[in-house]
Amino acid sequence: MDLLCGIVRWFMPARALPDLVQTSLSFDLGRGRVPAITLDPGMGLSLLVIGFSLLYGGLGSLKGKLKGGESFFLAGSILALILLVLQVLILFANGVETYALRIEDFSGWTPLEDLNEGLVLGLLAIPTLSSSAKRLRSLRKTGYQKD
Amino acid sequence: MEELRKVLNEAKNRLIESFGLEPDVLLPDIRYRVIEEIVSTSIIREKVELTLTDVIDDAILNKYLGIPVFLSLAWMMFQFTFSVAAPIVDAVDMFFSWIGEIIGEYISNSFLASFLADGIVGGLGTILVFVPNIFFLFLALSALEDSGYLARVAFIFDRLMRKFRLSGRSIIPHLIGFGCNVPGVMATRTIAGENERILTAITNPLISCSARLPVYVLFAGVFFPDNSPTIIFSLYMLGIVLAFLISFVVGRFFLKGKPSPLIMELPEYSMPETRTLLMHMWERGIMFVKKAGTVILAGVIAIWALSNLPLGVKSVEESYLGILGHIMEPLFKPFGWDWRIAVSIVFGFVAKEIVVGALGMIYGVEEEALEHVISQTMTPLSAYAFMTFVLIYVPCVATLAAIKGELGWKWAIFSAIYEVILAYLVALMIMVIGGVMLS
Repeated sequence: MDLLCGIVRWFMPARALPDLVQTSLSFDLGRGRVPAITLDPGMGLSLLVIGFSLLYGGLGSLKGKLKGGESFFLAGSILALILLVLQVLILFANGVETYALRIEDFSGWTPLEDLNEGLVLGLLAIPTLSSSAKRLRSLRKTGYQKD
Repeated sequence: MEELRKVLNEAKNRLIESFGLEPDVLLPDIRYRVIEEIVSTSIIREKVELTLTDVIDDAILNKYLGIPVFLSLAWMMFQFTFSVAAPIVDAVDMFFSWIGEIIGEYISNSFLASFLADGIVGGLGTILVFVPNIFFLFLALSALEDSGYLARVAFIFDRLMRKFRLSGRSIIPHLIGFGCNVPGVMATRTIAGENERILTAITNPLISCSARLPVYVLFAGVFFPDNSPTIIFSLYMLGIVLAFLISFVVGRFFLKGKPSPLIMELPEYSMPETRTLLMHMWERGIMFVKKAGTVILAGVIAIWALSNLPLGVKSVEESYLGILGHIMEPLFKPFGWDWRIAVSIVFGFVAKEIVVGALGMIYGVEEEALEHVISQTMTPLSAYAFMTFVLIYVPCVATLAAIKGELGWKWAIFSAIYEVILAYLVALMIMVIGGVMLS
């Protein structure tokens, strides 16, 4: 949904999208909505790739498959972790712009604005990455049967 | 010799007929099959040894997921380059503004003050503020390279690139081209097939080098503040798409023959070392700073001279630069660019970075004020057309010299001409299609 809305907003800015996307995908915390939905096609594509890898890998993993299962789950978790690190760095950079450099464009910025869908997905991927790493470590010890 | 070649060709054709594969692919394939046979008969393993590289490659090199993963990582790389580097860019900008103020305050000679404030600080300063972006881009590229992922990109793109008459190996010079097109063109020497080498070299200038970054960062920041990394990402992607299309057209109509197959050994994945990453970033990034101190400095001084000559002119409009701009203006009227914007692109031929410095000097302002001025003279659509034009039009002198060195004058002239025509057509299409979409 993020990808589709991002593409529409990017290529046809005149076609205003309803606030429905924002309100249906985030919660109002009074000072702002969390997660903040970026409606960026790049973010949308990343979420789609990570989401697909985790889902496809998770289902394959339940069937006990390493290739076409656990491997996709691990790749999706690594990508989500890279996205999380990136979002944390952006949050930090925006904080520096606001509080240290006092750049005018950032007046009124709050950290809540950067608590977006990428950051939330990245946080959720930490336990999946750790469980995937554990399973792979045990497989490395015992070896595995070729699929 | 001729007879030997004939026998060789006959043997090659017999092999292709019998096995359906080129000898270049067939020989290593048979070699590995023999090795596998010997290993399987001499070593008995109940379980297969597991490496992390095998597991990750299963997903990353998947024929459906490979390209989306690359696009996703490329988008993250641009987010890192622009959003994370932003505070350093702003700090450098503040520094140059402060220097400009000091010069205005303490130097009473107006000619010298203009030379230092408008020529050196205004021209060079507007370019140097983008140095952090360039360092961050090289840091991200080095991380992808050192992790072992970049080598896999050639493999991922091979299938797609062969459809455009290129080989997967062409992606390496193109990736180097993201830094600078000169080593990108030179790296085409590693491509075995002559046709693919020519196609890769003449399309390499369409790959957006770091010199175009200052233009993108400035215009995307002014006209698309909420989506600037994505806008810049779109320009990089547009460059790749155009490079593929031009390869296909030139390969289809001017160069006959099939692309040679890709054979390469993929390295193991590894965690990049911080020290090595910083070293790579520094080595590549410092080249931009050195260029700023030589070619770009000479370029901005030339522009300052042109905007102040003949002696006694009261405004830039009356100077040689203004005269040239007014001659060019009608040509760029459909894009909504005034004479100032039109004349700035002339200097990109020396080095693309100079475009921003030239704009700063023509408007007689520094980076922050420049943002305000250009936001008043262009629309977001004409700004996007401008960024596209800068992406595509004529390669810089150094890149043209590299193409001439690798392929000769014929292909260097061909590159310059097709790129100017292509830039004009694409910018025009953006104005027409964008106008319809926004209406």
